[in-house]
Amino acid sequence: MTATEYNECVSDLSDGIFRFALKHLRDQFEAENVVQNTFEKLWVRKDKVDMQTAKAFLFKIAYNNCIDLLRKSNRTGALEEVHENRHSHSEQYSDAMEIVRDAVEKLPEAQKTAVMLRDYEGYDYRSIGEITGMTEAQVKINIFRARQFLKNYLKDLYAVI
Amino acid sequence: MTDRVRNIDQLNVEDREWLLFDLLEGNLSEEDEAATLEAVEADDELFALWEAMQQTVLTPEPIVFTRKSELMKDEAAPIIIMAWWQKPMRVAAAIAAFAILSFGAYQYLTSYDQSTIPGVYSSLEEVTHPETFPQQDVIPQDETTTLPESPNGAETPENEPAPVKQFAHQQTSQPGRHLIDPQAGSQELPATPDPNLMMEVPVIAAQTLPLLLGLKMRTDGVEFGEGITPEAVPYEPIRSSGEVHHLKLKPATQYQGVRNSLNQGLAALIEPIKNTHIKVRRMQDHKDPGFRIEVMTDQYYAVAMVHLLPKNNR
Repeated sequence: MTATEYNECVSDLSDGIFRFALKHLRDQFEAENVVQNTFEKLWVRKDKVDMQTAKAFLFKIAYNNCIDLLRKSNRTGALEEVHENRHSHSEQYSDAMEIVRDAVEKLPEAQKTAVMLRDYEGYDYRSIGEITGMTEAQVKINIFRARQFLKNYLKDLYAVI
Repeated sequence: MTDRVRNIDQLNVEDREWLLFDLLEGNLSEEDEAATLEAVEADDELFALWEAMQQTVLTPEPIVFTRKSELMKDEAAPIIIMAWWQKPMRVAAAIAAFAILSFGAYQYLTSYDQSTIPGVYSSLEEVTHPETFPQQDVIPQDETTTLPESPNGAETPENEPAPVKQFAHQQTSQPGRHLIDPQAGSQELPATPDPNLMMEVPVIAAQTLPLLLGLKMRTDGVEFGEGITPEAVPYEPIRSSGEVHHLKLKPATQYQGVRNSLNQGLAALIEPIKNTHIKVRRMQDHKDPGFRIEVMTDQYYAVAMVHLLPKNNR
């Protein structure tokens, strides 16, 4: 990968990496650091990574970085405990998409990662598995559970409203 | 057509959700997809479920990473990668240096009565300007003053630093060379050291070296001129000290929390290991034999004077 290609990756993919990290970490400063660390690693290994695999490489690095940070701050455990029937609706929403975005942040890490990579980045199950270390079946189940949670979240919210 | 699509009316809620999920994800064959959509159109409950399922598809938010320019690179920008062995090698070099000092001190203590000292000391450079060193004696216990205890008072024995005694210095014939005013006895000097003297000695390092080296000895946080001025060594010290410390004359093993202090001291010395230069000189012209250890890094310059007591005084 040349410097020009690397810069193309920065232009095209840094927004997505930043969104991915921000959704996981909910902290802009930490998310920006993840983006910087991720691209730093790409630059160091630019001779071994080509343009075709750069996106998956970046998301994999970013994902691992996020998980490490969440583990350090003990946030993973709390997120894993989220139960689909125990969500609350105390926020004010302007549209359904905002509700869904809020609901996504309540998802367990594995489900959140899988559904975000699927919908935001358009990855298939196999690619998501390569990034996250899950099997294709696990990816599919996680996406299904995420959609099920989001559907029920919306349904419950509409019932309250 | 698969069985679950053919029997869609008989599916339970979970199976219906799976079917609509596969429809949403594009996992169905064309035939199954068409049949499922037909069933959805014909069944209000299934239609509501399908609508709800469609709402779970996330659409990207307009989030922009605004610091792209910081990540951009020029083609000519060099990549500096430290080889995997370089860092451990540097740490190993520092540890080896301390190990040599420890071994040397032990050898020195056990062979003090011999006129010729074998081993590492034969290769050590002797101090050629003995007049620059103050005359120092072993300080009796009653001439030392215990420093005030930690203000928080909550330190456990394991965490508290090794006990430090303030050094009651002797009269000197070299004004300006010492950190203690001879007229004031063991009075503590002001916090700001004399800029004409190099006194950039990390206290923790001055404490650590004797702990590392072993038993009865004294370290003075003293820096001599010898052509080195603060201007010539412009880097910032990690810590500055205008004090002369005298470690309590007890074996190191009797110190509570010695391991903690030792680790802190080692970390303080090893952390800026980049470009570290350690110089050891033997001081034979002192009343107390010992070493002058210079640790020079790109961050600070530290000198620890390690005085050893004769074997028969232990």
